[in-house]
Order: sequence, then structure tokens, then C-alpha cells
Amino acid sequence: MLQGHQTWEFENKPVILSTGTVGGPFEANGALADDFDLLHEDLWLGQDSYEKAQKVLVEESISRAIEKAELRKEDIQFMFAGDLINQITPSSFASRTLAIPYFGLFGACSTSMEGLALASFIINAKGAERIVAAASSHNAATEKQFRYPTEYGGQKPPTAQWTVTASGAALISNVGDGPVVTSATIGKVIDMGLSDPFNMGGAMAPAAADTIVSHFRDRNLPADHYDLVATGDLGQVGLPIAKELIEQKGLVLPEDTFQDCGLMIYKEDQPVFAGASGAGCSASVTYGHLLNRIKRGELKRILIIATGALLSPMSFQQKESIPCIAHAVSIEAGGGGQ
Amino acid sequence: MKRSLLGMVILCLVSGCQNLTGATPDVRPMQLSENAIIDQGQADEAKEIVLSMEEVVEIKGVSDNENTIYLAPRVKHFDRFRLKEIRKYGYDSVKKRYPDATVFLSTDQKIFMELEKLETELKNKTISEQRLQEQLNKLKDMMKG
Amino acid sequence: MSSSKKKNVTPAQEKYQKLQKKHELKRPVGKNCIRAFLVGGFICLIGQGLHVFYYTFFDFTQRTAGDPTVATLIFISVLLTGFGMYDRIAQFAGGGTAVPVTGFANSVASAAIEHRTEGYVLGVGGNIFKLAGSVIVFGTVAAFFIAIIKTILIQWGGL
Repeated sequence: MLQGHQTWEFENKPVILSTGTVGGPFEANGALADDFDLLHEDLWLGQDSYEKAQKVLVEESISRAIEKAELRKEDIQFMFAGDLINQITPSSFASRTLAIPYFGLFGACSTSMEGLALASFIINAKGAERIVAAASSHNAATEKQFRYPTEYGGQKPPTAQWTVTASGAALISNVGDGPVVTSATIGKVIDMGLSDPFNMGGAMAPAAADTIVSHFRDRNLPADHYDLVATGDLGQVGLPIAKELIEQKGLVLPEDTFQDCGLMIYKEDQPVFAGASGAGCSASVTYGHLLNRIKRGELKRILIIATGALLSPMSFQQKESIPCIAHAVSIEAGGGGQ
Repeated sequence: MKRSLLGMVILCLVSGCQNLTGATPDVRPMQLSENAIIDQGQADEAKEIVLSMEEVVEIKGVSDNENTIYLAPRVKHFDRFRLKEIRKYGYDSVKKRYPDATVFLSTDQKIFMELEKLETELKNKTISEQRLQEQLNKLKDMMKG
Repeated sequence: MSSSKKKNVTPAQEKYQKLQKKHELKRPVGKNCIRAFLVGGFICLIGQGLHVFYYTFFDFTQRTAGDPTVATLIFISVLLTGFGMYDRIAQFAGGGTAVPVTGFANSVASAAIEHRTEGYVLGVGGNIFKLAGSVIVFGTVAAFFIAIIKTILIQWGGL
């Protein structure tokens, strides 16, 4: 259970039974298109608003995960979900459709790992047998919420990031085969006083670095313990900063094991500025691409650090700086353990 | 590739400016005088007067029976900043020569084109007096409006 | 950009912000200026072309041809916004597409399109001037003060 200051170790080994990942048209052209279960050609998903489209993304990813485990939704005890829209309506509305007892979460883009950590904790503590954890984001809905109208011709700086249109859901169970969630580190909110909403990577990097360092300290792990340490959406700006910060703290990760989900999902020629972002980014990359690599045996132990910038459109207009958070979850190949 | 493109753009800009600044030789105004249906003596002389201004490179003009002169000078590109002044000076100098006449002077390109058309038609005698008057009344409205 | 202008920064924050600055991708200001100049100039060229077209083939003088020219440019800009092209051109051109009248049309049209899902009254009507509103407000306020100054100068300054 509690290990060190802020880390849980899951001795009962909650298993990720199955996952569901759904993406939009931009992701279909991306580098990881093969790792998605379902890709939509239409950004609207046949709905009449982007918010409804995002709700459908959540519904589909969760249904996919349940179907793949050959279960019915009645078999699922709880659902953890969150997104970036006001009052997390897409997740809540999806849970209205699915009728699974629901916890709504908000941790900005860190929601994916926040949900996975909480779900694993409850499974580990025998509070449930099967829980589904989901996180989603929709490019146009998020742009509308946080920035300008989608069609507005405002020039974005190169530090801006592209919100992915995707949803990822994981079904965690106390029994079964699959990758195992071994531990989770809950991060604290860190604010380094940055206030540029077009430079999230730079704002979130210290939170990610803090959580990574805490995780290695709490679990007392050697730096080469993980095959891959992947941050959620730090992008081209945040990733080198986070690397430098953790190295300052004396933790030198082996070359190439420190990567970013936001830099994996798209091809280089896609116009995404400094990389991808959004709650759906870390969720879909982790539950799709990274878990597939674990299943193929390419990776054994990974640590995912989902980073979130806890700002609102109003807070940055009121000249508040951007507080950030990061949660880490370690996943290992099934049966492996420590 | 990019550099050559930029070079071309700069070249275009420079040569474009040269064309505009380079002094075009003064075009002799069309002298119609008694050849036309209506005597253009007044217009011809007014044209000479305005054209003698340094800023004016070309001029079109027509007069009618009601002692009204319509003039449309074309002004050198860089003197267009002082259009108002030039118009006033041109108007005053024509008015000095013909104190009784009503003078309309416009630097509008549209008026220039219309007057040019009328001049040619007058020269070729393909226009009736009535139609000329109609056209001129239309121009008068345009110049005022 | 504006991040380090805060007054209450702790030493740790200041140190981090320095590190952050080092890694931050800079805006390519020079390149942006050239692009803005070329695209903005190109839009003006189209405008000039329309202007000449209107006074050559229709009953407009050079002065009155401005109205249909602006109307046409606004129409084109709104169409491009609706087809989802304008924001892409703008990402390339920056100020080049924002400063001409097309930018204003785009800001109005994009807001209207964006908020159509919230209905015509509260959505479109309420949000259409979301971005353009401040231009109108400050434009009107500035005009008001300039007019007062002018009036004062003419009335009492004897201009």
C-alpha cells in the first residue's frame, strides 16, 4: 500500500483486462493509427456539436473496452472518467448512457492516470472487481473552451500544442490476464509562475519532474528500472526541460527511455506545433500503443506520467499563473511483477 | 529556391516602382476644336493650362454648350499625396482663364476613362449632341457624389 | 513570453523560468513579418484589382468603388472561414490576414459558426462579437474622444 510519501504499491496486482481507444480524423493520419480500435473520419462524429461528439468518443471507448473483455456493462462496478470541457459534461453524459456508477474526475490532461491510479487502488483494496477508467479530449471542443473559435485566424506560436481528438478507456480487474498496474504516484500541484497558455509544456514540466523524482524515491528504484518513462503531453518544449530538471535532482534515466506521448501520436509532417496534448493523448497512447507494445513483449516495465495544466480560460485572462499537476502510474507485463 | 523567389519579389517591387516614378513624357492633349459637333475650343485651352502644371502627365477634357468644362488630369504617382492641392490649383487656373464658365475638375480615374471615351467619340463624330449632354450630366453627378 | 513579468516570483520560480526560456521555442518574428507582408500585400493587391474592376466595368467612380470592393473581400473572407480555410492561411500569414478587413470578417464569422450549436439568440447573437466586440468598443470610444478634441479645437482654437 502506501510507500514513501505519495506512492501506492498494488500488491494484489490489478490487471488491465482490456482497453478501448477511439480517435478522430487527424489521429487517423497520425503515426499510431494502427493502435486505435476505432477511428472516425468526421470530426463531428455525426453529432450536431463537438461536445456531443466527445461524449460519443467516451461512450465508444468504454463500450469497446467492455466488449473486448467479453463482458457486459452490468459487470462493471464503477467508472472513472474525466475530460477538459466545462463541468466535464462529455464524461458525465456518457455515463448517463452507460449507466455505470460514476466518479467524475478533473485533473486536466492528467485525468487519464488519475483515473487509472484510483481505479487500481480500489481494485487492490477489494473495493470492486471491475472498474473502467477513461479520459478524453476533442480538439475543436477544447479549442472552443480554452482558446479562440476553431475557424478564427489567430496565429499560434511554435510552443502551442495540438489537442488530440481521442478517448482511451481501460478496464481494470482483480483477476485475468494482461498488463498489471504495479504502483501509482500522486503528484502535487506545482506552479512555477508561467502564465502563457500557449506554452503548456513549459508550465507542466516541473510537475512532471517532481512526480518522477518522487516516484523513484518512494519506491527506491534504480534509474534503469523502467524500459520506458513516458510523459503525457509535455511536447518538444517540456520534455527536454523535464529531463534537465530530473537530472538536476540526480536521477539520470538511460538514453531514449524518457519519451513523451504527445510526440509519439502524430507524424512529423503534421502541423501540431510543439506536439500533441489533451487528456485523450496520454490515455489513447498508453492504452493503445504502449500496452500493445507490452503485449508484444517489446516493453516490460513502463511508467506513465500524465501531466495536467489546471487553468481555466478565465484564470489566465485574470493573469493568474498556471498551476500544474502530474500523476504517475507504472504498468508491467502480466505475470512479471517484481 | 526560396532565395530566388525572394529575389524575384524584390526585383518586381523595384522595377514596379521604377515604372511609376520614371517620368512619362507629357502626352499632347487631344485638340478637337471645331472638328467636333460642339465647339471644344474652351476645353482644348483648359487642357493646355492644366497640363502645363508640373504634376500633371495626361489630361482629358470636354466642354459643352452650356459653358461648362469637364476636366480629368492624370497626376504623377508620387504627387498623388497632394491631390487636393493640385485639384484646387488646376481649378483656379482654368477659372482665371474662363471666369464665366462652370469648371468641373476631377482626378478620379473613372472620370478620366469616361472623358477619354467621349473625346474619341467626338473626334470620330459618333455621338449626338443630346447623348453627349446626357453623358456629361451623368459625369457631373459622379463628380459631385 | 509575458510569464516573467510577474512581481511575486520566488527564487525557485525565477530559476525555473530562466531554464524554461532556454528551451522555449522562439517565435520566428522575422519570418512572420515577411510572410505577413507578402500575404497582407497580396490581399491588398486583390482588393486593388477588385477596385479597378468595379470602376472600369460598373458605374462607380474611384471613390465609390471602395464600397463594393470591401463587401466582396468580406464575402470571400467569410466563405473561406466557413470552408475552414481561413485559419490555415492565417497560421501561415499571421498579421497579414488579421489586419486587413478580411481579419475582422473572419473574427465575426468564426465566432458565429462556433456558437451556432448554442442556438441563434444566445449562441450566435450573443457571441458573434466575442472577438470583434472589443475592436468596435474601443474604435467607437476612440472616435468619440477624437471628435471631442476636434470640436474643441475648431470651436475655441479657431482652426
